[in-house]
Amino acid sequence: MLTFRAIAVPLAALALIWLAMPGASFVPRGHLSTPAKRDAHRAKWGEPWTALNAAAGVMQRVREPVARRLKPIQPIFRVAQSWHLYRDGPATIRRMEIWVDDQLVYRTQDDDHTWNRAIFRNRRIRPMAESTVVKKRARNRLGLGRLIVAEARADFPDARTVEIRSVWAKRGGEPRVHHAMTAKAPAWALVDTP
Amino acid sequence: MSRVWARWLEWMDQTTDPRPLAMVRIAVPLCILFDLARLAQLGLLRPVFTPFDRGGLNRIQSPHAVMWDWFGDDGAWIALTVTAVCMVLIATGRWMRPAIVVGVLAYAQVGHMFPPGDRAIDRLLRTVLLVLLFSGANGAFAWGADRIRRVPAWPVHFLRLFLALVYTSAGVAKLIQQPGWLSLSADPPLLRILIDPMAGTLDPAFWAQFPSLFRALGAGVIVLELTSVLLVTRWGPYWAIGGALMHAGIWMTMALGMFSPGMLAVYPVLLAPWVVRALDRRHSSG
Repeated sequence: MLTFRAIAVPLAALALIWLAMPGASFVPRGHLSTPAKRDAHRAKWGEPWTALNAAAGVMQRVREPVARRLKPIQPIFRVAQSWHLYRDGPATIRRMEIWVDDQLVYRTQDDDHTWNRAIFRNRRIRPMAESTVVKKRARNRLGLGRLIVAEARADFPDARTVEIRSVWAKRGGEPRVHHAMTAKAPAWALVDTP
Repeated sequence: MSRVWARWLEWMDQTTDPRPLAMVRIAVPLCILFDLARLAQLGLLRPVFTPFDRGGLNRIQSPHAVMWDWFGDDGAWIALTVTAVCMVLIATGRWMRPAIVVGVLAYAQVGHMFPPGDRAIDRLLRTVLLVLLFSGANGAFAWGADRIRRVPAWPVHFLRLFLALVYTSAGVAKLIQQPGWLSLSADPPLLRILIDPMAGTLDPAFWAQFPSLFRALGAGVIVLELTSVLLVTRWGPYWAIGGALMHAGIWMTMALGMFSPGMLAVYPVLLAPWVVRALDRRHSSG
């Protein structure tokens, strides 16, 4: 048993390291694979960042063929080993606003407009709210929009219009509506604007 | 060669106090249970775990959500119920091994049914549970079972290696995507993350006045993440103090749900020498 363990544990550790290989697992296979790409990167970022990126690209090209064979096991337990976590934030301040008729009822991180805040800030819903705000025509906007309209109709039975706005602002600048979705009674179908 | 192999066998044969592993065994399923309970409390179980074409939220379906194929709409409720029951069993230490296998499979299905809400912390906790499967984590604090004095130590080392990989990957990926983490003049990425209203909780108008503070904190995060290899050395517990402070900071300044408590749930094995000493002291004074 000890001999088996002494072989199996380092093999498992090696598989883990191979799948999660820091840096390599983050970049695409062809990352900085040509001198022209490396020169362009160097002109923008200089050193040592270009060397770091080029090394990650080389490691990825070594790692990827083996990692590809190990990957089919991961969905069974849903344990994909990519740990890139939070790397950067947006330069733009973006928020979701919900208007019921002409009344603002929710705005992200606004203590004066907190309707259903706990739902929109829940860790499973927040990524959907974020993609809806960041991308026009985000694929999941309609599901989230349906939930918002259903909740609004329950809490504001006389409502005639529900509008979900994506509001963007430069830091210190005036916010403007970047895109929106509107649902109107009686059909309550969600329509993108613009 | 035989001497190296003999030393390796000796190292693999090391034993440890099971209590830090047992604390992880209790804390990880509790995080998952509280997270699912919160979803139920908000009335979100149905919209989250219903397919889009039947009124659910998520349009991006995973091809691996086989519970829906096998059981139709009931698949989600079966996966959630099995997950919850198994997490209770794991936390109590009853039938730990079968409960981990079945519980992780069911929790993976929960993730496949709603991929946008299945985050890195879910994958990390599943991986931790799979390591505990092969450990003696039920050797202490287990309901109705006697305490075992010593259990194999390799799962503790494995979890430390795993977390070192996670933190190092996070640090290297930050520098690859955004060298501004170590810049003295660029807009600090940490500031951008924490004042982003969609995930952070800091007031952009106020905190943007202090870029130098966030440059220093950002550099601290990079140093911490890139030195996480210390976790596999005897300096690991000292590193873990910094890690715990970082997660406390994330908990206070970001709306990431169970990310910080989930990460901290694994920390008893990082702080194992001190945890064991504290428990022994408590035991002897009691």
